Amino acid sequence: MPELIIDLTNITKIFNPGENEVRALESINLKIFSNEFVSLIGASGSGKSTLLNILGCLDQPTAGSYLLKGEDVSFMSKSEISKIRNRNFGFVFQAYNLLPKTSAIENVELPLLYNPSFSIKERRDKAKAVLKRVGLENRIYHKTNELSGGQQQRVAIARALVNDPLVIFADEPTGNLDSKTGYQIMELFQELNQKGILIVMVTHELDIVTFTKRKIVLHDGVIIEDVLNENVMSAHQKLIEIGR
Amino acid sequence: MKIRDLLLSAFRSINRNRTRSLLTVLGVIIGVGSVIGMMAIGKGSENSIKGELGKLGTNLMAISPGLDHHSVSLDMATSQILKERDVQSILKFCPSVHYITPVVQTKVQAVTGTFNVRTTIVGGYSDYFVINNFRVNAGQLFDTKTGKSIQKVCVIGKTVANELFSSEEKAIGAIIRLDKIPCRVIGVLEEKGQTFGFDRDDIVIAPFRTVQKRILGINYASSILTATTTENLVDMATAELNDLFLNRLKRISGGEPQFNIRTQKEMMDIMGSISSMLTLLLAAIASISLLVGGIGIMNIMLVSVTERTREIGLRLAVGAPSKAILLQFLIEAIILSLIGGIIGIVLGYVLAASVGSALGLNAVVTSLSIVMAFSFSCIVGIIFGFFPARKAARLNPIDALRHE
Repeated sequence: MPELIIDLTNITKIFNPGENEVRALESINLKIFSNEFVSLIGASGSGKSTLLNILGCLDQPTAGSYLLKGEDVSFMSKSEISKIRNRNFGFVFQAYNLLPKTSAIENVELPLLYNPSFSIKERRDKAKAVLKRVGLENRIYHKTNELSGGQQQRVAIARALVNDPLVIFADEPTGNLDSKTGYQIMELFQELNQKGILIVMVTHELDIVTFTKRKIVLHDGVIIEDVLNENVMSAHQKLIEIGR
Repeated sequence: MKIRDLLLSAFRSINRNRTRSLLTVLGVIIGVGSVIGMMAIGKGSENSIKGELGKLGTNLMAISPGLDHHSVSLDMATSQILKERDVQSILKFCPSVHYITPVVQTKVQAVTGTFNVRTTIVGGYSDYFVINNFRVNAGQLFDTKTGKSIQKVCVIGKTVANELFSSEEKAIGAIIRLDKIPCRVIGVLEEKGQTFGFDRDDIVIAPFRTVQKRILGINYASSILTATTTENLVDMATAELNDLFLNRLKRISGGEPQFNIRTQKEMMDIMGSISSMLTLLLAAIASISLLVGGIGIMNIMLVSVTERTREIGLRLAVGAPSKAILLQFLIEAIILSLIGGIIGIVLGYVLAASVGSALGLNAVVTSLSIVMAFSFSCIVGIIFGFFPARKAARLNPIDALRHE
């Protein structure tokens, strides 16, 4: 039975309140469940990134309520929010955002540095395990600048996985990659989703959207389309077709 | 974030920009090095001053005209208040005083047939030699009787002898003219060396009246030097002198005593406090460079925060509390300034040793100066690291992640 993870009610976000205000999100109502793989799409300025930031607790809404597993996180203090992100979320960015000249494993360990319940050894073991899970067991001690784009994004995904997150938020994760490497990343995402990790992804590539289970389209801060994908494509299959 | 992780991350980031880190700490290195070096040199000169004065004997007392140490202006009448007959009164009324000489002093041109030199001439009794610990190298000193006479004889220092004669032996018995007064050289003094940059061998010593009457043409003494046989008689002698001069001057002028008696111990204290003040001044000047070094650290940390905005954004996004970011940058700044502090201490030692040997001082690096310089560099790190660290901690994760 899928569990309700994200529950947004009348979420509104206004930048620069006053004469030049920008209404980025307008009364968004949204429920997302535990086994979903959601893609957020829309033209630039549609509010999809703002929505992702609010979902990821990187930003706070101007009005409305955000329940994460039933807990209201819309107006928590900065340090409480930090803890929520650290324990529940993983982030994957378009530009990977890895620490420069630092080994893969140290990058992956990063979120656990801010969780005092992990010992140094636990951290290492955990980071090694997730690097193995994303297929980088031979790249553990490589510096980030010694890795290809696809490998760097895998390190970033491993970093997002290391804290066993409730949700992974991905902001155009395939944006900087060629299509084949992009499919490989989607293959990994589909695998993770099958094992029960909820993924919310912003993208503007329509073929990437076909790999997700639910499509939400935003326009001028309003959800104009929210449909389940009847025919989810398999990235694995796609890779076989184009010859990996 | 665990302390170990904070330290590790700070060292890594310093290591990533080695050249820049080195240039950054250079300011602190120079600052700490010069504070320690200057204080060591100051301490060394203080010790040497005390040592030099101590050599003169702690049983010495000098009587000079004037109100006290602090008054500067002397009118003519006051400056001429000490007379040679006061010496007789002192001998009569102050039994604790054992050695005594009136002193006059001036600059003269000393001329032989071919050479001439400008030097200091002192007029005094033969006790002047005892009190100041002068001995001859060649010839002899003048005796008590000659010291009180108006004979045209003199004893010269090594510097004067070297300037005027080819050898010390040639000087003995020779006539030199001191501002046109011909004097026979009867002795050359043992070398005394320099004290605070003054050449103590650049001197001519002649009987008191010879200088007072023949060269200066005055009827007073500029000071009277006295000494007791042992140090523990100094207090009693001072009391006796005070009593005598107070009574006499009350009788003469009916006013306040217009002289002062300084013991060698007091002089040592005064010189000591002057040189401690100098040391402090040197240290204060040197600490300005430490301050500048601190500003250098702040500058680089600000650059580093800007450069690493995306990293900070990422750390915040994955759940770093602001406090952890603040600590991370603060610790980096503190480590930078501590590294500077440690290298600076080594530099301070080198500086103290090399400058000390160049000046002929025994420069002493005190543990106080090390503790001071080290804690100061720590404080510099905290103060100048705090502002950039706070800037980093206050970043908004979204803006920081988007930073180009």
